[in-house]
Amino acid sequence: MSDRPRLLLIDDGETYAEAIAAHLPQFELVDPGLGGLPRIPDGPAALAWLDAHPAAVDVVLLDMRFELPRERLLPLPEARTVRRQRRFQGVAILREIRRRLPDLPVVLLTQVADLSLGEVAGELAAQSMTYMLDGDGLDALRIRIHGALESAARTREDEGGVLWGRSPALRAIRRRLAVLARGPMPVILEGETGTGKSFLAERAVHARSGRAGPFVVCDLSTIPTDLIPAHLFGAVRGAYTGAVSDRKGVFELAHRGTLFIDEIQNVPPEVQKQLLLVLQDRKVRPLGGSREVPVDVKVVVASNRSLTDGVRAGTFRPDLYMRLSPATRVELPPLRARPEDLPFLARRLCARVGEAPEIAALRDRVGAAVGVAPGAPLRLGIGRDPADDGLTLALPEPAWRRLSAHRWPGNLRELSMVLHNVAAFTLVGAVDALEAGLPLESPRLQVDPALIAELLAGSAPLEAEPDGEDDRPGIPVVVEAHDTLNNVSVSVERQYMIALFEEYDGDLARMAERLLGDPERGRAIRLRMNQIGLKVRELRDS
Amino acid sequence: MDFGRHLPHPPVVDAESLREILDDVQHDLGKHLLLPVRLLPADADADALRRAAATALLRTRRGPGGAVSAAALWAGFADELAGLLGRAPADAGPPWDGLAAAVDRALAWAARLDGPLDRAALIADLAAVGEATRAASAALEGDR
Repeated sequence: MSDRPRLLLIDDGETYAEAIAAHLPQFELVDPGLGGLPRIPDGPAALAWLDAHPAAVDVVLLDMRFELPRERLLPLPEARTVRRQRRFQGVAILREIRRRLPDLPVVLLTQVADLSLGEVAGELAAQSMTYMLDGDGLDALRIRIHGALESAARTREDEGGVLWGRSPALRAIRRRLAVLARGPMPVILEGETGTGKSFLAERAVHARSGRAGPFVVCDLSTIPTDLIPAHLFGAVRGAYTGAVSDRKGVFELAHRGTLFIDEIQNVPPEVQKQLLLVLQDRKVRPLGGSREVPVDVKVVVASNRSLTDGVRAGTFRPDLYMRLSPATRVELPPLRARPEDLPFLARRLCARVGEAPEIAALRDRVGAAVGVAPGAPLRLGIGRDPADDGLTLALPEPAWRRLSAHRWPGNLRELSMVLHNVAAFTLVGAVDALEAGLPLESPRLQVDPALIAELLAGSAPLEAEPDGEDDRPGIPVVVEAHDTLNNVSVSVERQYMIALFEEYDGDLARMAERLLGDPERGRAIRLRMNQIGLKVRELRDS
Repeated sequence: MDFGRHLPHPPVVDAESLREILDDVQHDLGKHLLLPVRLLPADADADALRRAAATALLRTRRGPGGAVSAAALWAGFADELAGLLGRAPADAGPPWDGLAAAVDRALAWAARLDGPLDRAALIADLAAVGEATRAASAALEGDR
């Protein structure tokens, strides 16, 4: 896979294709397989190709005028003659590209005379676009393409460092959250663990809400069930055993800001009614208190399971669900559902991993030995990417294929952790080599494919077989007949936890890594076990 | 008696058609005469410059039916313009004579492709066609 920005040229002429192919090797001219020079000569063919390959292009270079027969032109209602339809055909193509892929950067190849395009001038002026004029030279073309790429990258990352990627699904979510952030309604985020729900709640909702108050997180999976009401609504001194002083709940703490309630499905049924009233009345009454406190809070709730399933199963109140505004529900796709984003995400996350203090120290130490400036970003090279300027973790093609084939049950969190480990192991290996007096010949550090296999093996047991033919050993569970679905669910979860606890000899970090994709969340496993009636100490003793 | 009615009418200039022809001149000559040379790297060698100039001048418009030279394209445009102006562009006064002169200077480079090429002079002459076309368009707009 090439690391070069990918250009799609839509042009009925060959001059740009020849020039780019010959003189701008830093870009990859996408070959649509039509024969001849890599370009698409007309709008209908270009749109069909983009529909089939929506993530295969970084920048479109679009000619304005197409000297083609009428049947190969897209309609342009403003054009009174075929001649004008040809002259402004680029506008018709641009409209369709914007409708399909609104964030795809476009460089319009046009003439000075076309900058006042009569009936379409206003429309073009309102577009975020780069122009390449006929008098501009090769350097100008290179600069225009880089400018378009950088502008698109800023668009992707300008909201607090959210890595949106290129998949149409995530782009649609970004637009949707941008709207929902400014409105008064609660927002429901659903998605598997590690899909970035809390990150998006903070960076894409709270940060864009215009609210001056704080962003407060309440992870219900980490709070013992009987403490959830006090945690949510606050408590006055003496309200329960251990309440030695008045305590504000998260609603009060998030006043004029945003409250993110993670794992909302864990709200016990008896608390759901209280939560409903708070959402309705915008007032909280602390536990044991008599006065109500007005709260102005933007609520974002998240769940790694479908709340509608909870409603159907009777574990989640339908009135609360309706109050949470299901129309604002946003489902975050798992990483495996957007494979086109994997190279982009892996590269960006690698650079971020490289900034972690422990990795940055290794990075700079190794970088100094191969002439890379301290602080230069850590890069990820995939397959036969051309050599880069910086220190690069070079993934051989088989290793990348292994990563691409992985189902990422822990999603972005898991990807980030794998890259963190790849960086740590590879850099430590390089440091060891340096200390042994072995010179490093290149800033490209080869990643051992066996390391990738080893790192991914940890989450393999969580990976569901896509075809349902799973021959891995199962865990026998006992379900009581005629029990409620909620009880069956808790019972199965309890039995599964016990089985895992035994399998990992009570190592909660390993359980957390397997269940949540994050070994740092052992405490969350302990609390979840506590919630479903499992005491870690008792299990260890037994 | 109204003698004015019997005076010959001044020639009716079909400005819309002229504008359309100038659009085509701008695209086919203004743009495609210059582009192959403008898209060369600054350090392109003499052979690369010669190939680009040959493409610009001799294979100016390329399509499924083959390539058409700048001279052939201009001959077609000159005929169309003459039909509308009542005389050849070179004899039609400003701005048409300026356009014809600029095209002639550019086309003259086709005879010099075997010798050394002065890149800056070549670019100046090729770019002058687009400038003259824009000037003609502007003059036409001014006459509206």
